Amino acid sequence: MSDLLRLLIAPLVWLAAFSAVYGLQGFGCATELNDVIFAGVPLMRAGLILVWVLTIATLVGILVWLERSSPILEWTSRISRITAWVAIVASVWALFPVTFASICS
Amino acid sequence: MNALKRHRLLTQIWASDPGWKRCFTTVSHTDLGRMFLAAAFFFFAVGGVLAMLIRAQLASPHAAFMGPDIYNQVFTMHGTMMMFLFAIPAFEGLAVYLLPKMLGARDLAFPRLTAYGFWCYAFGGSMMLISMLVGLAPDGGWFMYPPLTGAAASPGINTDVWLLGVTFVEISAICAAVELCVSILKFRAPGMSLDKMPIFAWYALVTALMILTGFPPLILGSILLELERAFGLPFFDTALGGDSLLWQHLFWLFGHPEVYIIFLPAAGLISTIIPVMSRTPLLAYGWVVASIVALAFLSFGLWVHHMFATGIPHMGVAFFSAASTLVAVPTAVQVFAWIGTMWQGRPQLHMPMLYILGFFATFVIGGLTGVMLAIVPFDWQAHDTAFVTAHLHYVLFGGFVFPVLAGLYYYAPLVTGRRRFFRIGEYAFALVFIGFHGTFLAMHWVGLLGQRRRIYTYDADMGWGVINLISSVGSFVLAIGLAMVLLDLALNAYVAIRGKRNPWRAGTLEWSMMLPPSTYNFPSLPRVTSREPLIETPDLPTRLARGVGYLAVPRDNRREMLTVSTTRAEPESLVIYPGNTALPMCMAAVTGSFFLSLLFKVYWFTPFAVIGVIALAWRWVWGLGSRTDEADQNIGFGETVPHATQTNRSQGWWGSAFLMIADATLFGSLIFGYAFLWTIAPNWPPPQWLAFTLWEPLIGVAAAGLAFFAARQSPGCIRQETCKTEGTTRRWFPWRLSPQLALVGLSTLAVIFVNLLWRAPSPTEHAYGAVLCVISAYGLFHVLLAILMLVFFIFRIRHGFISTRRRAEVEIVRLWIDYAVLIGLVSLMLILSPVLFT
Ligand code: HEM
Ligand SMILES: [Cu+2]
Repeated sequence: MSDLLRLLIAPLVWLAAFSAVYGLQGFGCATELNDVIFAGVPLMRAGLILVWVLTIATLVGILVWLERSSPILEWTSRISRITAWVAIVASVWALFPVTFASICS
Repeated sequence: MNALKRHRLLTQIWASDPGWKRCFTTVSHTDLGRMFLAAAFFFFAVGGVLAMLIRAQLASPHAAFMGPDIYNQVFTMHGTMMMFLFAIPAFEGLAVYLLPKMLGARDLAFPRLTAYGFWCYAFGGSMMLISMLVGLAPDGGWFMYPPLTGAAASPGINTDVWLLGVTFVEISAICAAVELCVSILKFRAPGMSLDKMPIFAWYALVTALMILTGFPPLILGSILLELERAFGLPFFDTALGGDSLLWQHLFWLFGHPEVYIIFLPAAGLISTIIPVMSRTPLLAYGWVVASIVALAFLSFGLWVHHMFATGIPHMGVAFFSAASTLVAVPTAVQVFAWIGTMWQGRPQLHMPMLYILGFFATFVIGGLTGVMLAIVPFDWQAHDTAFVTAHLHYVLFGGFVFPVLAGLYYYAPLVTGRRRFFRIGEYAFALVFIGFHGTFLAMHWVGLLGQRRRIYTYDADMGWGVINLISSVGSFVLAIGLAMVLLDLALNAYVAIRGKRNPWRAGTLEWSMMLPPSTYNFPSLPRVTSREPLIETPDLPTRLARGVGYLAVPRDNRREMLTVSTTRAEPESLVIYPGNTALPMCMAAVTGSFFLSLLFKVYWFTPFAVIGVIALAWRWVWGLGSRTDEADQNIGFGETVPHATQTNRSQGWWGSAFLMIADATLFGSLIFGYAFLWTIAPNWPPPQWLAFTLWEPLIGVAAAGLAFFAARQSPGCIRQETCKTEGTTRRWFPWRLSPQLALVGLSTLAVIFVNLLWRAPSPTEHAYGAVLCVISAYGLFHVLLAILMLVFFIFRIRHGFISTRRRAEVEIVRLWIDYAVLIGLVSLMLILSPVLFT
């Protein structure tokens, strides 16, 4: 079981982060959060970017952990590194719009 | 024991009932797989006839063949049947039939559950079929958008037929998915570690996990819409705090993964067939596995691309179009692996290969039009035109029907034990291919000229007549082709000459069997050491027949199988399967009466149906287990394992755990719905909030804690005699009657939920009250379920089924209690905490 979880862990983090960012964006637009500017920084965008960066950092951490620790099967370690890379690329690419797209319109 | 004697004994043990009874009492995966496939192709034929009706109507402008009412029913039923009654069940049938044979098992994990799933599908499907024959079929399109499908715009039971019928059929998908997950992870031949599984098993595993997480949003949506239609709970009614967009979210949260749920098994067949036809192993097995996993995950991040026309903020659109472009990558990895495999080997153009080439040609075009539609400005233009219909058929027909036909030709020798003799298939393929492209290429074109989908007629001066006529002629060619395929398969199944073992010279275990396969699959279970055991050990069939394998000696007239550890597949326990029984069919019938009572609004009957299901479920599980401890069993090669009932993680525990994944996804979707309505729906805040009380959370937490810790009381201590030897958890809980204590805790929780249901604002006045009502009901349901299990468990103790060694049931009941406790706490929090902020 733990080997199977290794394959799934990074994509699961991606899925959670993707949902979280989408949820946060929806929530921010529904409340006044979107208009809050703190010390010249729009809070919403800063928050979204923060989640985005944290996600990528977490995933890189997972990748490092996958490289260091040893699974039951040698085979799993290769596949789980591929899926971790998939999760990293997916996070960078699919959440990249937090940096430029207009948030609520 | 010689091979013949072993064969006789095993056949006797594993045989289904003789004669007409067989169909109703069989629990064999071979029988049920065939029944699933037969039913699925029956519905394919019905859906095909409906498609012909559609094309007949659209063939010329102002056709008077069907009026709009009938036309709406026909296209809705066509889409619904193809998606829910053909594609998914066809996958289930293939997987149910093939997996144990591929994995070196004698059956799936829960044979009776396979049967129950089949009967739910058969009854649910018949329900929808009959509704169509009497003219009451659903007519809101296969995705059933409210408000069109709300009570005001669609009175009558047509829509209810869809909501209830599809939910009923989906029970079978969930059953099959749980079954497949447990079977693939625990019921393999010893030695078949994860990296040695046949590639199809990976596809099936991931597909099953996707069903568990993809279907619940739709089930939830159907329940909510039915609640709205039947009892006026306004989830989708904007005037009362609902939002019809919630349905679109729930539907596509299911709908997009659904396309991959349909595509992945087909891709699994392709990955199975191409290497054999090319006489070389699959290139880049590991990359293919990784890309399946990636595809599954990415497909859950795409659903909003079906809603680009609903006015989503730019950032949302950007997320989902970016994610949509990503899925192309893992699909491409697989396509390259297939091409590379053919390149590396020497491909031979047998029948299955023809359909695979057909798949390549068609699917690539479908993929390209898909990329076109993923470009948002283009989508705004082509949205809801025949272009979309054409695209989706290129993907569904190209990506599913072609590979499945390849699979049928590939596995026909295994199923029937005969060699293909009549050669109608090649002509049939030509007709199918030409007919398909004739039909749907033309539809792209009229779509771009502006013909909308789902219109029953059009004016002659639109200039669409000729193209539509071409399309309709094409569809009739296609239909003739498909009929010839069936004729070819049937002729070859019944009258062709007997074939010999392993005609394609494949390497996986299903081909090591006698043809047609015997009832027990394997005379003894192989010890697997490579991905292609038959290539490594060509004489494997004879060795297995001679008894060089596990479980080679039939004993005690029992159907025996091994479970293995998930990763390395080392033997873990011995499973005794139940025998033939009509219980699954009866239970499906009673389940059906539950849905019928809702459909016809005879609500007084509903509780009786529920009680019926409970009673049958009780009987179902009561028959398992044993009243005496048994010693570890010899399984061959000098190894011994305990009985599964004497382990902590029996297959029942695993099944429960996977079912909970689906259950938790449903709950998660419910929370999503709550948050969505709260933040997005107009007409919030509600006229009245729930009043906060302090005693509910306090007592709730205490009760949940009591149930949780009482369930941790060590199992042996349940019976007084064994209490002295087991002291571990007694330090925490001095009382001996832990199940009874857990019962007290759970009952208190139940009372709190009943009280919440009672005092919540009226569920029909505003969506807020309706959501609270559903969340409390969900919590209450799980608490009651756990109570029921505890009561059952107490009876089991009384009757001596539980002991320190026979502890499998303890773990299962505990798992469900834990789940109920968790759900209970989260529900309480969801209901009570937001009130504090208002
Ligand atoms: C046998 C050959 C088939 C033909 C000739 C055919 C034809 C059609 C046509 C003409 C429509 C459009 C109806 C309209 O918009 O007015 C349609 C819709 C649809 N078809 Fe097919 N089809 C075929 C097979 C399939 C298969 C194999 C699947 C799925 C596995 C499928 C799934 C659908 C779906 C989901 C819709 C949309 C229904 C809706 O708009 O609610 N079809 N089909
Ligand atoms: Cu999609």
